[in-house]
Amino acid sequence: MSTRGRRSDSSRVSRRSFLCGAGVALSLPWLPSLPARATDSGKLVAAPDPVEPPRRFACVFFSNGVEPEHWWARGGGGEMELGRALEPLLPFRNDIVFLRGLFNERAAAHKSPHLGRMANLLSGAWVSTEQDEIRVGRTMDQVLADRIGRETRLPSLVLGIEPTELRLEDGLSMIYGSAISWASATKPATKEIYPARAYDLIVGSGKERALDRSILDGVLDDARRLRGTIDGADREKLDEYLESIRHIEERIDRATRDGRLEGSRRAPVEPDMPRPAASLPQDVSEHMRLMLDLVVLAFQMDRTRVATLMLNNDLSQMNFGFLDGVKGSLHLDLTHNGHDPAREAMYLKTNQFHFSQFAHLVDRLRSIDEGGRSILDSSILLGCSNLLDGDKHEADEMPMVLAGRGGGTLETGRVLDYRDRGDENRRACSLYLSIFERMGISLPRFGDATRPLEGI
Amino acid sequence: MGDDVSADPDLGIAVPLFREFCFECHSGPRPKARLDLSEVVTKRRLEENLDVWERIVEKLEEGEMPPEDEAQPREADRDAVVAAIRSALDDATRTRLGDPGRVVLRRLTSAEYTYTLHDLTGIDFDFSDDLPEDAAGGEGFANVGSVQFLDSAMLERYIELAHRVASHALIGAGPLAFFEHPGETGLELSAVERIQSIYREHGFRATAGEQANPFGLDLYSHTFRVAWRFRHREALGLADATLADLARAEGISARFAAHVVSVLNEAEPPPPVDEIVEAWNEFPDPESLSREDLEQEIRDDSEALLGKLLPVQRRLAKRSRNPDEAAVLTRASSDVARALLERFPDSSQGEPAPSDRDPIPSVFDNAYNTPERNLFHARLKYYRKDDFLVAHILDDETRSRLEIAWDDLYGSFDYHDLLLRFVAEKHGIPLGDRGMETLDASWIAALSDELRPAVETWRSEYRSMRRAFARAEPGHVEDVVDFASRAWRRALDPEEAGRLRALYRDLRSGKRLDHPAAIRTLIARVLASPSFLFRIERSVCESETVVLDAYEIASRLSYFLWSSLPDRELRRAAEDGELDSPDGIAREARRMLQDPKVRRLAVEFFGQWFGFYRFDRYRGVDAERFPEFAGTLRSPMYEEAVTFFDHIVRGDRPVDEILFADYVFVDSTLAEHYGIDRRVLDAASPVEGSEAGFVRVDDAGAVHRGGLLGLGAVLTVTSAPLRTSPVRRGDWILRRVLGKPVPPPPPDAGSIPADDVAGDGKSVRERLEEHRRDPSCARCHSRMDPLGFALERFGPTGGWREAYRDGRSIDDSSTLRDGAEVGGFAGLLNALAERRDDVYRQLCEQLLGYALGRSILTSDRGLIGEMVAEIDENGGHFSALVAKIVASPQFRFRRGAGGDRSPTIELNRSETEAGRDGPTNDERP
Repeated sequence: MSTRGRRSDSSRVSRRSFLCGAGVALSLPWLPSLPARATDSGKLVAAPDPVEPPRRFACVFFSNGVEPEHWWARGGGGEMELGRALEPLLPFRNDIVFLRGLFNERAAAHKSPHLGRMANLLSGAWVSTEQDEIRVGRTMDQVLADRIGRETRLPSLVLGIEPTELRLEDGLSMIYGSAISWASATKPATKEIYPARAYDLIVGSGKERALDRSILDGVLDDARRLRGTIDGADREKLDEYLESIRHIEERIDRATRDGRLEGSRRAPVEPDMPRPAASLPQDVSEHMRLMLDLVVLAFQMDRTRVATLMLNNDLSQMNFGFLDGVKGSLHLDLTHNGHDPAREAMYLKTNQFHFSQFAHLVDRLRSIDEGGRSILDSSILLGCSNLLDGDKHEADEMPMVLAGRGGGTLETGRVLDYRDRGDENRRACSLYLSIFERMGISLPRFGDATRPLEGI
Repeated sequence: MGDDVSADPDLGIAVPLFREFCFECHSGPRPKARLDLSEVVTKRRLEENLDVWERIVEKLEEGEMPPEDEAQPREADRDAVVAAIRSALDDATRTRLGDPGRVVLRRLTSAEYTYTLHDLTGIDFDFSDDLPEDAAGGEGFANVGSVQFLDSAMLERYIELAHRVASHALIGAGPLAFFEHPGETGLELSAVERIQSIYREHGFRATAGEQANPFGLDLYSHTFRVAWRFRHREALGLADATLADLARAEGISARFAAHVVSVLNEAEPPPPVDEIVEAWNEFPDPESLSREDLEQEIRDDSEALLGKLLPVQRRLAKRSRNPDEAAVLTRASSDVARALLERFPDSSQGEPAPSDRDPIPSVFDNAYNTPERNLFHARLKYYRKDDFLVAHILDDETRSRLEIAWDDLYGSFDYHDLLLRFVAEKHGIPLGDRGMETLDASWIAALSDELRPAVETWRSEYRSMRRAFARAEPGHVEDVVDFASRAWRRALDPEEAGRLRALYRDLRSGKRLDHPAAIRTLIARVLASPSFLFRIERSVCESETVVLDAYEIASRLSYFLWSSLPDRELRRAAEDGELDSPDGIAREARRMLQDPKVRRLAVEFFGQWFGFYRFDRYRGVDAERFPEFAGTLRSPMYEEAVTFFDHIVRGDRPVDEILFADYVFVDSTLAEHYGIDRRVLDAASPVEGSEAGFVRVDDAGAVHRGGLLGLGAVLTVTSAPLRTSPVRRGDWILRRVLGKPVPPPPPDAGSIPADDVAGDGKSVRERLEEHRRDPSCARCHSRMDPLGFALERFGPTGGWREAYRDGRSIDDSSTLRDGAEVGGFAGLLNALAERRDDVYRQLCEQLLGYALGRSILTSDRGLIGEMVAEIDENGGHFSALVAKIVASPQFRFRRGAGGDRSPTIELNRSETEAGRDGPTNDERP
């Protein structure tokens, strides 16, 4: 009953606080004294305290692995020593957990050295080699989106820098190399690569959608009628359409309810960044920076609590000529460098560049206060690639770094090495189960793992 | 059944071999690649598993299985098993030939969506930043339903785009149409364009400003001739000809001819018209001259008469087109001026536009460049004065189009209200909040005698415009219903049409939208419908093979050949039952292959097959090393490839030319890049209809070009950013051209340096030779590398080169796996000519896979065989291959989902469900 009481409380104050928040925004501290809306905590294990800031998860991915020689960390806390690939994280040694030895068994066993070892990064699933289907597995971020995404306007934010290539690689669709977030085993979550569009998703009011209702009603009717005239797999495809309509309607509902939802927590309601230009940024580092800032914005405004960002696609032709002393494209020139020392050095620079992006996210989230704790304190961030040595397509271990304290559930400033603990004890999916727990979700198994990661 | 016994007696020989070499991985509870060979071999009959067996035998034939590092069967044993499986497969497929296979519901690809909307609206939308990205599947194409997805983010974009398209609808006094500019501005600009085009076509607009050039006055001389012929029609043997016929023959408006004839036959024409009439009356009689001289004489006389008319007009109308003013200026009486200019107006102009050169209504100050006139042009922009054109030139149909255009122009902004305010301001008459709609009789009555008629005219213009808009409304709703039928590519059933009408009514009365907003919403709703976004093929029956209906066939045809919806002719053919027979379908296909829209087949099919799709945005070349690539080369290279395949398709060339064409299409940039001599270029024939200035250079072998392998785009996408990649090129030839791909390299295969000039001085060739010393590498590389090295004289951006960057010479000779020596590009072509069958088979499979939107099945072998035979026997003109496909049962029929539910497939499903392949991550606690 107490839940109900609180809810009505919050709806009473919400409109006022919503109005207060409007226009004042960013410098306002988190106000824990305001009652928060209760989550449906009945089924949840270790539910976050409802008056605490919400917990967030983000994954920043880069393709093509790292220069293995420079991938190491020793010691702990402020004394932690980092390999050169991780240099940009030096100022954040106290905020990270360095992980060694985690892997996805089905990726390591896959014959396709790129696509078979990438799309499954966050699911541990098998990448189908059938020509007539696309199938991997639902990824952990989308499981999170499903469970905690209902509380925010956007279940999750799925971002990228490079578009999907339209071709097969080794007989596999390049979609596998272009998506780390999968809404279902057969469907990648739509990845947004345009900063302006992502901005609109986060900031847009949703009010302009009122008219879409009559359109949605109409086409829903079409779909239902058509459904009776087709069969089997066709019907499944049409069901994706029906489901999409339902999701849009939910989102419209949620957007119109936002006043109440947001009011209780006094997240800023005005963005502190301008709408980016409508076209794709030509400058890669500017593009990445914008996308990271959008993740920060979405977390700050509490428009979503789950985000993934692909800094590059697999087999990326992203040209790193903009880095001092670097020439050539990521995959062919720099990753597969033929052990030419000059090229290896350039490859290392791209590793560092990728971690400087991750560091930027850590830094920004650390600097935003939500009532005595930073957003970083409430978050778990995963910076990773799917291969260790990109040149060798080495999937027996993946480079992974965590940052953030998960609302006090994750002890940082540590180095954890799982390499000699046996395959059962070094599954990436165990890490995902551990992250689920910290986000208040209990699952008996995920991917190839049936228990959380030990010692994390 | 025992484990050693095959379920198929003919395959008994295979069991021991599989047991020894394959079962270890491919059996048990978790077989690799989800293939349980022990199940397939011992428990199931072959015909239940045709496609599985096809794959098994392919792996054996290619030596891909067992894997390198496992024990291998003896070659003779392997060959015997392959032969047995092949023969069993042939027997089994004979009974299933032509099975349409399972084609999963297809969503329009991004390209199809764009083309379809172009063909629906005539607008070149650029959706490239907005559309969801496609994935490839099946034989490697985006149009495969089973690998397409839809989620809410994508649907939202579709809805957004539907709104965007709807904003381009023209909703005015005429029927629904679309225009490149959206909204009210679109209506205004479109109206101006339509008005201009009518004026331009007919000349004679009765207003024109200073410095305007006379335009179309030569029509008079034509009309004098027509009038003469009409008078003497009997003597000229034209007794049956009407004036309209004679006018048409001379290219003159019948109405204009009638006007001129009536003036020339006036009983007592006033001066100075009488001079013109008199001169015309003096044209010779037909009898007075020989036939040949007569024509010339009449021509001369009518030109002379025009020469007489023009100075009079010019004098009278000097510095103004206003007869009253002209009369004053020339000291002629205004009657004289009016008498001539009303009958033979001098107006019309070089710039047939509503423009600021135009005079403004006579109640205002008409002197050029005065504040008042400038303000009028700034605020109102347009003033209609085309009485003569309407009364004496335009035919009824054009008149009505012109009326609609002017109504649209008036209705696109508050023209008449502005006009009213303008006049009220000028004369200091209080207007209050009156507008045209609310103008009261007493206000009008109080106006001066000069102003009153003008305002009354404007008001009636305004009211007639409002009436025209109101009259058009019901038609727009029906236009959207018709639009829906085209967009959904089928006839609407009455209920569907009824629901669209009901939505319109609801938007008007319930949602209180105005008419244009309601129509736009209705259009957006049509374009967001699954009937538009998906290519629905109805199949009520789960298990049976059904024939597609005529509309579904029409769509299959149009999306195959045009990546878009059926055109009017194809819809007619569907309605008239012409698509009920294979011959009728093939006939339509041949017609469609002549349409310029088949360029899209060159872009979509050949582009995706050969990998130059979206090459115009290709970024895989190092911009520092090759700055000219993105700047000047990329776009003509793309054009070269598309032009080449457009030529193959629309020119209906023998498909052999894809590889062996002895011509090349280049522009001057490419010619320079390819080292084609300027003189050769100048002598070459331009490509018909090429906007990019492409020419066709024959005898291309002499300049190391011709066919697929000489295309700049192809040579570039198969290179690394800094250097050529013989491995990639060889792999590409095997995979895409010959259809015999090598398996992916082992993950730790290693790599060679990105640049061709590396520190240790070793060439790419030397490195690959080292690599091939490892026998496990050699098996694939001995197939790939020699093919790639033959193209080594083509640089990384497709140019011809004689040496590497560091001056080392290029060795483009190589030895194929079968020992054949190949010398460079020409040698490679010879080698490929030896393997024509593989090339043909690959072409047929790709084309069929693209046409059907699915992978090739074993049951397609018959059709593929027929197509290959067609090439062998008749040279394989492109249209003949297309005809084979569209007439096939695969193309004309559809299989329900139940039809392919063979035991294997169910077995696979249950395996997955049982978590045999691991949890699917769909678990929910």
